[in-house]
Amino acid sequence: MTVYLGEFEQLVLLAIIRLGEDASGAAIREAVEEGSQRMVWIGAIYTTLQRLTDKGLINANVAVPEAAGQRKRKIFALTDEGQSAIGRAYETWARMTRGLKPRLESP
Amino acid sequence: MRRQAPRWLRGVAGPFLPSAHRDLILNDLDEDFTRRRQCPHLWYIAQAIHLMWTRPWHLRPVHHSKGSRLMWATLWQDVRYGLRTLRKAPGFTAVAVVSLAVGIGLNSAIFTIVDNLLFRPLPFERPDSVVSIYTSDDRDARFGSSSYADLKDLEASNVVLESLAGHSMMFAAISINGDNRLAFGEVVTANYFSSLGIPLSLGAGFSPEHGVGEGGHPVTVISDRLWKRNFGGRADAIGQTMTIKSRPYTVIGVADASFSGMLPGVVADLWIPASMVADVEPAGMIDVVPSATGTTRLQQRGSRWLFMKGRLGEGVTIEAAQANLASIMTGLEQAYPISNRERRPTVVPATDVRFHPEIDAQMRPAGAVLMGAVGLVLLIACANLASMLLARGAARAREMALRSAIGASRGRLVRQMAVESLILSLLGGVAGLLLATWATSWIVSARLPIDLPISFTLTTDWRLVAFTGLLSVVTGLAFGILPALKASRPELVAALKDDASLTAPGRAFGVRHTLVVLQVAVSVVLLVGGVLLVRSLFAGFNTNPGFKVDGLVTAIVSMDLHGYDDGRAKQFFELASARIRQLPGVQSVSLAERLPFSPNIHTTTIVVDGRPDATPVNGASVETTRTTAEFFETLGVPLLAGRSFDARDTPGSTRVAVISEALATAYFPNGDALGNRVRLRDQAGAVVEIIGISKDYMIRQVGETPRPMIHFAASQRPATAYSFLTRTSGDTARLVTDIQRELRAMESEIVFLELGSLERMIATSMLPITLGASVFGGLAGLAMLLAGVGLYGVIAFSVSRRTREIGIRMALGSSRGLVVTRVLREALTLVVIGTITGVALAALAAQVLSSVLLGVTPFDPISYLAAGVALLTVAALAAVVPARRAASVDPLIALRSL
Repeated sequence: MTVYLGEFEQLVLLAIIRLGEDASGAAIREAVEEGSQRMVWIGAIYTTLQRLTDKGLINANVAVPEAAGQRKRKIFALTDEGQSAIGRAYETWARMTRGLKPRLESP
Repeated sequence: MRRQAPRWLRGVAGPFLPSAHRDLILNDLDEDFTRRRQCPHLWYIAQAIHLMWTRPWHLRPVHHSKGSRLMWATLWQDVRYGLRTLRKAPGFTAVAVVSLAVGIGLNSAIFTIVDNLLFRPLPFERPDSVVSIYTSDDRDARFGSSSYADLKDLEASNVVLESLAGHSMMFAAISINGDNRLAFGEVVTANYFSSLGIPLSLGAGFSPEHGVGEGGHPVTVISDRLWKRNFGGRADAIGQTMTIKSRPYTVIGVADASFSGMLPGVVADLWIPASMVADVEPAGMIDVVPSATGTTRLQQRGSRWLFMKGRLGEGVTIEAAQANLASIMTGLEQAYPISNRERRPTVVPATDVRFHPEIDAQMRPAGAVLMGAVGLVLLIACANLASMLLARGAARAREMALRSAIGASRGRLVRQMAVESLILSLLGGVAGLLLATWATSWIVSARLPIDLPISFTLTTDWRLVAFTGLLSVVTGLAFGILPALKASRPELVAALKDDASLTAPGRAFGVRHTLVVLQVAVSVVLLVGGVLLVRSLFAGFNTNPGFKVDGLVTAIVSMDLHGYDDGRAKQFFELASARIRQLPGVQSVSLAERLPFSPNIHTTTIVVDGRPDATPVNGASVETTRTTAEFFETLGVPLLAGRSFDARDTPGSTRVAVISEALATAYFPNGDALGNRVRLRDQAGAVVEIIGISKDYMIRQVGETPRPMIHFAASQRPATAYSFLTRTSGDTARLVTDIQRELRAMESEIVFLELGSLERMIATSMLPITLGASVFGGLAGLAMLLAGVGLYGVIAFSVSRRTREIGIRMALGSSRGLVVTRVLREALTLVVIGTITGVALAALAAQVLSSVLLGVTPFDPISYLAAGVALLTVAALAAVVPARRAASVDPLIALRSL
């Protein structure tokens, strides 16, 4: 079954990959905000994370604090399905944009 | 090092997040806070609100059923626990409940009065199409009364009104099955009830035929109150009779209980048709000018005693009505130039009129000031509650910490405090409602110092009561939860050790300090207002009215009410004056049509004979009265020139008058008033020769500038109603009973429209200021008391929190005096800041009062000083008690508790 990914879902998945071990809700929110250059509510991130979890594309682990003073964080990671879904999305994107770069520059 | 998110942010946001996700979400928000550079606090809160709004976790189904059942069970637990803690702190509970009750109760009561008198519309059917119509020839006083003849002509000729009704207040000497008394009611045109759409609960009421002719329709519609009191509320009251001026009147209707006449708040007991006006005494605004036509009140076009209410026809605007009526009045002016000169109508929506447009204009600001004052008291009461809850919350930090430590969730603690505040607010609200009900009924039953058969009616607007109640609940909740949020923060260890005083000294100027400053400031505003009014009350009583007030007794009678004609009345007054003169202590007796400070106002216009140019202002009115020769001597007003009336002044001789100094200066600036002649109304009016000039005296109210006044000779014009004015060297109370006895002996059924000392009439005319001063004074006292309690609470709390600190200080050698000084300084700083703020606000607010004040300016320094001193005294008392407690701290005990 091919899973279709919305744009915001793609952004969230890319942020999780980029953040790796540090992919908490707040970090994802910030990464998406920086990458997309628009204001992002943490509520929107939660909604998307929830949807991605329900689709089986990501899973969450609660990271136990290592040192005193640190708090519990929920860290997200891609599942195999998630990996292949974002991979397919990237390939589609790459195929569709090939050779178009000069015509896609913002004026 | 990265900044940490402050704990209070977690405290604010936490309770609103679902417990299953709370910690992780909050951790995320905290993390976000440390990453963010701009406005992290704002961003934190915005994120939290957005989360509450969108509730993204709801994507996952959660089952609530078990949880909510648990919630109800624990809520009941909270209520019982709350009641128990409140019972354990009876002082706290009592002060909080009383503060709230006073705030809510006063507000409701005062609002009820102001609303009834000034804002509530009369119960007309389709009130928007009813208009009040006044006629006047004075551009500066456009809201005059109208004559019956003019009303009939306007009714017949206009094309803009569906109907036109007239009404006047009146007093009638009534007798129902042997119960004789003076009753207050209205004389109305026969279409009054039908035209205004006022329902009758019984009977058919007036029919058009009752308006025909004069004296032929002895019928009456009675009030619901009279019906219940004198006719037992039985249906067979219709058709029964009562006596007015010895004539049997048939009851043909009972007005609906919701209607009590045209005067707001005052109960009218009966209505009779205008055709029967000769049997009663119309009251209110009565303006009489010479009439070319007729001899009776109904025929005379110059006898203006009615107010008119019209119902606009379909689609007719006020302007159109005004224009049409004005053209009719112009026609009447041409037909009756003597009585109707320049008489013009003014049409205003009846919904805008309560008593009378001019009186309303005076009373509305007063009402607004009063409402503002009680609003401020409510504010103080709420501030008190808030500050007490905050103090209590802080004092219970340890309890909160303990409960939190053994597993209570934050939401649970907040809810516990909310429930407690709610119980407190509800108790206060209920007590407030009781107080409001009691205060309103007390005011209704209060007697004014006037001998008129007037009684009052007030209906409570429960929406306002609900509003004030809601306000108190919101205050209670807001300030109850705030300390709970603060107290339930997870600083368990320090709180459990009750170490707050040492670890967190707190901000120097917290919410509660601000509240005290606010309370003090508001109290100062009210106090200044109260003192200003009290001082102007004294100034009013000390003003020289132009005559000697003590030793004067008045008795007002209208022999008309007892069926006397002019001749018989003249005989009666002569004989009665002679009998009163024989009474012990009496120095002189006189008769007058009106007395100083009597509520009836009589005016007319005059012109200087033959010199149209010499009238200062065209149509300006002068005060009139009619007196006997001894009037000036009795009142103690000296004649500056000429003579008083004497035997030469008979009905047949030239009409003569004594004018006041103010009139002489206005009309005869050259000083040639004496011997000159004026004409009533205009150059065609009756000639009056000026035979004397009296010194000025005050006639309408204390403190007025002297008004132009003209005294006519009682001997030249017969009348059936007069005031006896008697000066005695003895006891006035004794004379009052003597006069009553003498006159009763002459006419057994005599009714006194007024009987008592003139001093009392002055007191009556000062009533607005007296009421204002006592209400304001009371409110100010209350506000001061509440502010004192508030201050006491804050200082006492601060002392108890710092017991250990004080102990350490004293162990280290601080003297008791120094400790007291420190505490007092803390209190006085607040009070001084509050007082200065209050004085500044009062200076702004006092200008509203400037129109009521007599003899003092709104910036009267003594008033401000008095208010400041009073407040500082109360503040000092409130602070001394906790200061002494601080000084009595035993260093050993204080230190041991460490």
